[in-house]
Amino acid sequence: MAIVIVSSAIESARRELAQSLAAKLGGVCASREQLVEQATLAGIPVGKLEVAVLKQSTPRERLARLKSRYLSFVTSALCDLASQHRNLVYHGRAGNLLLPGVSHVIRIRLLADNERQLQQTMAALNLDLDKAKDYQRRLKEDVARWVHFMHGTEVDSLNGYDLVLNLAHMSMESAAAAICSMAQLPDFNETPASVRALGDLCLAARARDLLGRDERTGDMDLGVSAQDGRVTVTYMPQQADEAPAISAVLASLQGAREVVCTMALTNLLWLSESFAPDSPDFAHVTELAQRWGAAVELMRLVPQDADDQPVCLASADELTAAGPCRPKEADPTGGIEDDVESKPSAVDGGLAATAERLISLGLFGGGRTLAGGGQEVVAAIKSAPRYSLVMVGDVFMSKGPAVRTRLSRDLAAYVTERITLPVMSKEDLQAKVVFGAKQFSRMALYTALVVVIYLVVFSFQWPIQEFLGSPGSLAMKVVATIAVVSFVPLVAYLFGNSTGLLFKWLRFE
Amino acid sequence: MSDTLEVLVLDDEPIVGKRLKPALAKVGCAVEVFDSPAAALARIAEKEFDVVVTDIRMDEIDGMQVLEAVNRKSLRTKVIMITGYAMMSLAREAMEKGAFDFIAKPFTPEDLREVIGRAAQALRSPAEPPSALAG
Repeated sequence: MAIVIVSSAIESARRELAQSLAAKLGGVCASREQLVEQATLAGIPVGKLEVAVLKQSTPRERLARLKSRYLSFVTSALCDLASQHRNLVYHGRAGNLLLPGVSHVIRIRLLADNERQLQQTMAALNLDLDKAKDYQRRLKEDVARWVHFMHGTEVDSLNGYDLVLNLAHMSMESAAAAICSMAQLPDFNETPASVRALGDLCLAARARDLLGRDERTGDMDLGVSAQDGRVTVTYMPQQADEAPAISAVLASLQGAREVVCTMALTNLLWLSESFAPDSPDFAHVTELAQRWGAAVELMRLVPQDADDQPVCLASADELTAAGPCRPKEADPTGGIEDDVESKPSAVDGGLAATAERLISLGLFGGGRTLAGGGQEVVAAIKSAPRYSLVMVGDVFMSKGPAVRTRLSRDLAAYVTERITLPVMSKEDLQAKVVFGAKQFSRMALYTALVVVIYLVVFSFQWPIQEFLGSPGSLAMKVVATIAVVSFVPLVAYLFGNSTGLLFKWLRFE
Repeated sequence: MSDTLEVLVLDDEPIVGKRLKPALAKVGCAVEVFDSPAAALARIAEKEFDVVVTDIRMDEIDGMQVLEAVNRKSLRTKVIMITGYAMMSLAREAMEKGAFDFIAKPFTPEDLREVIGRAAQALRSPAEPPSALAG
């Protein structure tokens, strides 16, 4: 069985190659455009996602949910096609990212012949050369933005491709023949592991798709995974009331050995004046949340007298209360929603963009803006006692570095004194989760010292015993006592650090 | 140009015009609604509208043909395309051919009013770049 995925920004080129290849392999050919059409008919407004990308709108929670639904739908549809047909050729914009970790999928990147594409564009759209070039350039930029928005990666990245074909240097027929030969290689044969990986991927996608389509669960932020046929759905603590619906919805999921619903063990509260999904802080917080099976709740702390007013709350509770997406066929409005009060368009300090990324990771536990200081933070935490850790990020940003550091420490100390929760600064968190070259060197050094000490002690047992146990003068006894008192903590320190860093390296909590 | 904005709304789903007409009339637009592209094209041929709001995907005549017809009649008219389908390349094509903006369904009347407001502004000061998609 061969699954070939052809990716290119130029639809006509990838379609031509995929059709030719499907004919050679005797398989079925499916396109991104077909799946998008099906997704739209299933009630996922893909056009809304595309226009948001075209207009470079600020990411919103609703868009993040639509994105997740769309990706689940496409993956699920691809899985259905793969299970129905012996050979499948799919072509899309960044299809290589759709079935990750399945070794028998062949991922092809197609570089189209620019000159030929220009001629085709000029003829099809009746444009002159300059306008055709402009059209192609902008379309490529649009596709790049789409790929970045949907998959968080760059469209030009060649990571994850098995083969890159440049149509400027070879014919479509030769390209299809080359891929056909490649599909026969043992490297792309199915293995029990690759079949299992595809099965789990499909099962998780189908589960997400079912949950996204149902009114009861469509707006919940859920983490869905599958392993060896066992589907695990993780929901946020504040969604506990809606959780029974998850099992009810997944009762119709076929192929699952077992469905397990678990509540995210805990919430991490990330307190900061501004958030950025590409920042190291974000990476550290999400890494810890993933390790702990926790949700991340964002609290944007702005000074009481800040110019930018607090934005509307975007807590998961509120989001859960929002109306579900309905299939187009059942939509009596023709796609024209009711007017709603416009929300304040205040600067949100990256709250929405970060929430969007957390939703994509299945880690979003809510977000809100709070005006004030330590007193307000403590009151907010006490009003919703569901956290196991508070991380104080960048606060008091309008102050100078020294004042900011002092005020941040004061805030952390104030909160620590008044609530029974651990409070960490961003530096503490960094120290807890980051394991880089510096930490590796320290671990190596401590381990080496411990080994040397043990070697010395076990190699020179008699002299050491004589030194410690011989009936000598009082002065010798004092020296021996001082040696033991200083040596034992030193060994403990080195051994403790060495093993602590080793556990950190192994991500062992 | 009078203060009242002359708007033509074309969508083959009658409910769209039915919902948009009062929403736009509320802000002072004079709205004519069509669910037949042929009838809309006939009206466009006889009257110069300030703004034409058209669905892209329709059975008889598609939105791109409407855009071309509007352009033939008057380059001053702003055309806003609405669609429920994904159409990145189509959106770019429409922009190359002079569409003012795009709105994807589902949208609220306020979303459309905001785009029409920008169209009105562009009509008053045509030198400014009109489109949110201009890149």
